[in-house]
Amino acid sequence: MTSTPLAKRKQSTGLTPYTDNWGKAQASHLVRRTHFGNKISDLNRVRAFASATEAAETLVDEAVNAVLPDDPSWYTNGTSGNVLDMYDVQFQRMDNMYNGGFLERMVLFWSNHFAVSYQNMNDLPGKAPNSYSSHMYKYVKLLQTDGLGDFRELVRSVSKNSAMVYYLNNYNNEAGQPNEDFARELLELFALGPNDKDGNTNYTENDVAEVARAVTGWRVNDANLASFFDEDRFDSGEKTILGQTASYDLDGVVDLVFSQREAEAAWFICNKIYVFFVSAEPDATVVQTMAEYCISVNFDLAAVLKNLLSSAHFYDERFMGCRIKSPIESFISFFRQFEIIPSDDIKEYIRVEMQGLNEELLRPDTVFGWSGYNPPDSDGTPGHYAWLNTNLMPARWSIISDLIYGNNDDGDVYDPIRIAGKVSDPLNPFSLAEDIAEHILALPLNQVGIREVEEDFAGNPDLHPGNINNQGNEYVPGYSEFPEYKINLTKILLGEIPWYEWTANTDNDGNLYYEDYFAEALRQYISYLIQLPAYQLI
Amino acid sequence: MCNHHNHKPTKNRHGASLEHGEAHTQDHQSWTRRSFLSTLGIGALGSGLMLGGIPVNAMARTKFLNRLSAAENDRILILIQLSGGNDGLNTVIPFENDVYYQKRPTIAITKEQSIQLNDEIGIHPAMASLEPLWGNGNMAVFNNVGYEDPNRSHARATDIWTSGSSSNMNVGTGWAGRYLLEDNPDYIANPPEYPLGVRIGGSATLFQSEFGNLGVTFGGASQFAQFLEQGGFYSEEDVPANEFGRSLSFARKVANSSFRYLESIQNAADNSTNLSEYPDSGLARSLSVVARLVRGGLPTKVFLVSRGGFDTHNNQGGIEGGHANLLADIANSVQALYADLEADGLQDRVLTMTFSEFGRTLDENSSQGTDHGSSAPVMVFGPVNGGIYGEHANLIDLDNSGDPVYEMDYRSIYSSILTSWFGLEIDDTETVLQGEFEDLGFVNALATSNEPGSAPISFTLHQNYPNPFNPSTNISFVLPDAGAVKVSVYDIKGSLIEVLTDRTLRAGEHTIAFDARNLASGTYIYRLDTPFGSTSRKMTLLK
Repeated sequence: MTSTPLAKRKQSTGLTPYTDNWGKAQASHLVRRTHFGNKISDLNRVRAFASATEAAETLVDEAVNAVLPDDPSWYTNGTSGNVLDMYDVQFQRMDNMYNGGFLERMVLFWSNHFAVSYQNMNDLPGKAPNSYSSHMYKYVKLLQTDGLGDFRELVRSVSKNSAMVYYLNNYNNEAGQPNEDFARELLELFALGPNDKDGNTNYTENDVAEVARAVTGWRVNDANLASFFDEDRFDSGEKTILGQTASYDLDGVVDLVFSQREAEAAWFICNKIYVFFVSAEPDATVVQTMAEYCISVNFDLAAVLKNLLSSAHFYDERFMGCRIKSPIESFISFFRQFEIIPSDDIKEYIRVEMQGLNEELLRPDTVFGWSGYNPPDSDGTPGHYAWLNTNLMPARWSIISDLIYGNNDDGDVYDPIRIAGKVSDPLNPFSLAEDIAEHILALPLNQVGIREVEEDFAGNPDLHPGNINNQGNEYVPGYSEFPEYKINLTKILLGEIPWYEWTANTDNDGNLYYEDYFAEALRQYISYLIQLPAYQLI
Repeated sequence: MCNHHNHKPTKNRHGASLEHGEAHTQDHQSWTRRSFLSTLGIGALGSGLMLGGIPVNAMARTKFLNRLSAAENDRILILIQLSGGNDGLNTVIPFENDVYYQKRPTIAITKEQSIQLNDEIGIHPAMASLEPLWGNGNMAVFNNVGYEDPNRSHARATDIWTSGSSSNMNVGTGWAGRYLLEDNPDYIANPPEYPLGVRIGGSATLFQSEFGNLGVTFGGASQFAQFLEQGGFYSEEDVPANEFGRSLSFARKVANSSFRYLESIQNAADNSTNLSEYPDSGLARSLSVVARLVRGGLPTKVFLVSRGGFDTHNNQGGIEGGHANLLADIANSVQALYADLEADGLQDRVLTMTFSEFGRTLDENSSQGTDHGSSAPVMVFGPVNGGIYGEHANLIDLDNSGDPVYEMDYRSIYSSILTSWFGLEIDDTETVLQGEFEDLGFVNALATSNEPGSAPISFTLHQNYPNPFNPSTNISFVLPDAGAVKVSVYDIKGSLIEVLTDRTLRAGEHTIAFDARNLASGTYIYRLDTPFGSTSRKMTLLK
């Protein structure tokens, strides 16, 4: 891995484009942040772009122009309140996370920003116990189609989405009996946030009450999954919101918020985008620059993301590996790193495990989404600290270890031969150990904290990898230049296997395979790597 | 509880210094006599497949019935892996065998140089420091240990020894891993607060189980010191002062405090020190860590340490040189370990066994070394019935490569350790080792009580039947007395699936049916809680 010495790194403040070398480190970083972990094919593709700008623009454009797959038959055949169909929506997310790229990243971002929990909808009798799976599917589709357009229009369309109308109880908000639930979250969670960048309040309690009146009248038709405006339930009187008075309705409120609080809204969403894509510790100056740019492009989210993902700031090495993986990132990135295509059994296993950890997709705990994705608490604690504690971390270890050893319904013990051939030379334990570690760890390997192995290499001491052979070269070329971590990693991989015995064989069909004990050594090596604290970082 | 050392010869015998030479012939003879007694069993029965040592003590056998629970059994096994293939023929020397001297013109150890254990064999002079252990009957030598169709690849042969399998089998788990699960059937539902195995170097496979690796690994004694100093495996301070450094520090902090065994290891280390000096070698330092953990009360039963460099293809030397230095390191380190343990009477709790993936060729090669061979001796130290077990290879009946053919299956040593040292029931030992191997009688079985008939009648949980099953099976257990009983089923993650019964039952045998038609295929754990104790077993649902 090429890395610039610490002292030379410039602390970039603006969003000037990254124009230095477009190398593996940069491409990996972009893939990790825009996909779900490094998959070799994505890394190679992104690395082949000429520059950060070309890479970022291509990835974002592809997401904007993505053709969505056909709807599942359970969705086209009528409305569903079957929980298995809800699980199917989750499984589709997992498949897309595995196969796809940036679009599904954005779906995850928005499903946290505009949090909706399916649980809430099937729980309450007045809601949609017989159609919630379909409403949730439609909600996700909206995030897919509108998630990289105009942020203002996204806020508008999500506000009218049937799942949201149900979730925040706006279906039950009529003139004379305003329900403030949705109104409050529209201001606090979706469009503005309670405070601006300097800590001043963005709106008052009275504004909330008045917005609640303005957004009355919305209902949902479960038969066609459409929300609709019911004039009879609407409070058509005048409202005073953010200092302006008129007979606002929902559209009017959205327009008003973005016109009266344009700078605050831009800062709010850019801060959240920054935290999700760059660092859990937002850089106020850069976020301000993003917000100004956001306004200049009329809240075009695709442009904002292209700008950020191609910036010199984004590629600063201090951000590479600075984000703690969310649970879904942790599992899907493991699959992508090792090219384990999630089977139905595995997806169900992951779903159940995530449910057990209270982290199931599309089922956030609260209206705030998951704090792990969100900006720091009021006391400054980075949100992503919420992803790890002394229960959650061992749970990740054991779940991934179960996936390696087939201790789930799928039952397949992982065979590492294919990934060994893809990331490295499967016959060379030195490059193999280093390349696999580099493939799955976001940090420079000298920062990772590899276990120091005091014992020397196994086998004949005369054949020590650093000794000189008959041709006058080191047995293992370049050995004397190997960094400490590489030697330790190789020793951890090899254990009691002499380096010169490490090999793979070819079967009758010409495919490489490892003898069981080499495959097992690799599985144990991978188990070691995934338990490194650095493995939790992306 | 280990009262089987009454037969030990008197310590501090005059002339017991184990230096080679004529001066000590008298003393050697006295060891020889006792050694002969020890090997009488095999001597009388001849060689071949009769591999047993002295007949198994009938009294000891009855004690198997009262196997102690894990908590009550404080016996410990240390495995020392001699990595690379130790030259057994220069470790235990057949000094009366001309073939040995013909085949090894420069590296052979003469009769006079060797430390004679009996009239025919002796050990390498570099191992002189083992004298007190040998002299006190705390050392057993097993001749010509191996297995059918030996493999000469380091990797595969190590895999065979650590997995405890035959050369035509591939077993993904280690024999110690399987034993520790057998010994801790509650492991998944109710994992202990201490590591079941501790590994300081050596093959990770040893502790591999179907539920992952049961061993905690330290890279060496200095990493152990670092572990204690920083309160875990990872430094929370040694990170760059930037965004990823802060996240890394946080993840390390969580990892350190998530490490389940942190406290038990820290406590054990805090509670104790080494009570004597150790030589300046990596192996000795590793053993000093083990001694400290044992003394500090860590309930871990199996430790693995290793010493590499035994792959002596070139210039291995004779009484001096590379191989001699390796043997001296083993001997001096083991001696130091037991000197330390003896300082406060811990030596009777600790059995230490050496093993290596293979021996080396009988023929010295053209580089004054030896190549990968076949069978080799194993040494066991501690509270053993000291002496020599099995006969040295005669060096006439050789395999196709011109090397000795094994006579003692290495798994019979494992089997003896599991059954007699750890008190595993014979059926369970056979399950662990996937076969039946003779008890060699070199360790005495666990004593539970000196008074016949006073052994407690314990409750028993039988293996479910049928197993594997689909969709229902029967779970039987025996209660010594009436009492409140709860039978529960868990999945392998430890989540409760169902409580099958929770009520007061009479004494005697009970059977409860378990219907799993709504469950997925897989391993489940059933647990019996009684006023007399709790225990669990595994069962497999196959749909």
